[in-house]
Amino acid sequence: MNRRDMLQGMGAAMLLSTTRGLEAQGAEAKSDVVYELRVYHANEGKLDALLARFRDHTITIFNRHGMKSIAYWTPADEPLKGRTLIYILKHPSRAAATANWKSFHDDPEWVKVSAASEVNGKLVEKVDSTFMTLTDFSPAV
Amino acid sequence: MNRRSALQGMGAAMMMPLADEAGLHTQTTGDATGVVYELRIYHTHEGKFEPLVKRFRERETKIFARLGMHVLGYWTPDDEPMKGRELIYLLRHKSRAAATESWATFKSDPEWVKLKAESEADGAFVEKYDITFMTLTDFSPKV
Repeated sequence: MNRRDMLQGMGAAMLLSTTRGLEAQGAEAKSDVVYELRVYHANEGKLDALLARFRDHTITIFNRHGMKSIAYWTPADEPLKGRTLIYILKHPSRAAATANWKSFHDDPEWVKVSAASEVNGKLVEKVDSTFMTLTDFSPAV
Repeated sequence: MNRRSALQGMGAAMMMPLADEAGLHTQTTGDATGVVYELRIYHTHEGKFEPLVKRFRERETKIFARLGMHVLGYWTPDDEPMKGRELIYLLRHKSRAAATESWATFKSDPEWVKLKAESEADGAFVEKYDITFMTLTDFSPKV
């Protein structure tokens, strides 16, 4: 091998490793993971029943369908206080989110719990769902 | 034990579940720890989303860190009409009073005052702020 070939070889090797490194990094940053922010506006007098349903059943059923609960909150101030539940879910991908919600809705426990909890009327008036992606400068969640 | 004390005893016993409920309520509202979470949604003016995100990435996150303001996550919506227009982030404060104090300190921070004035010389970035203070429910994972 002459000097020129050797330098070319080194250049290619350096380029290769750099490119691979960047690709790997890019792939990680462009992860398919999606987060879903859900805001439930409860019907008058139904927040406690809604919270009980989440506490006793919904989260367990979410877990069964690959839906990871990041956290559940209730607003501290009027006018949302006492009538709103806010939570964030993490899904492996957007397609998985769609599939997860479908299997959740079809889950026999959910069908039963949902019907039983709403014999006296629907608990939720409106759901705001926002799919979102972590920014490149966000802490991991 | 006479009948009266027996009844009093029963009364006390019946009070117990009520006391537990009160305890549960305290936990639900987060009063026990005082910790509050703050969900902030920034709706940007046309063309100001990228500069806003850049300012957060390069400067604002660092100012928050320096002032001890703990951010759990920053997100951007994936779908229209919010895509490319909104930034959503979540903070945790030791208490509601601490939140008020942190924001007051932040707003008067010399680096922030200068940065905001310079970066928004051509117009404000944010059209509307939705701010929601929240407490963890008793059944939530810890965050």
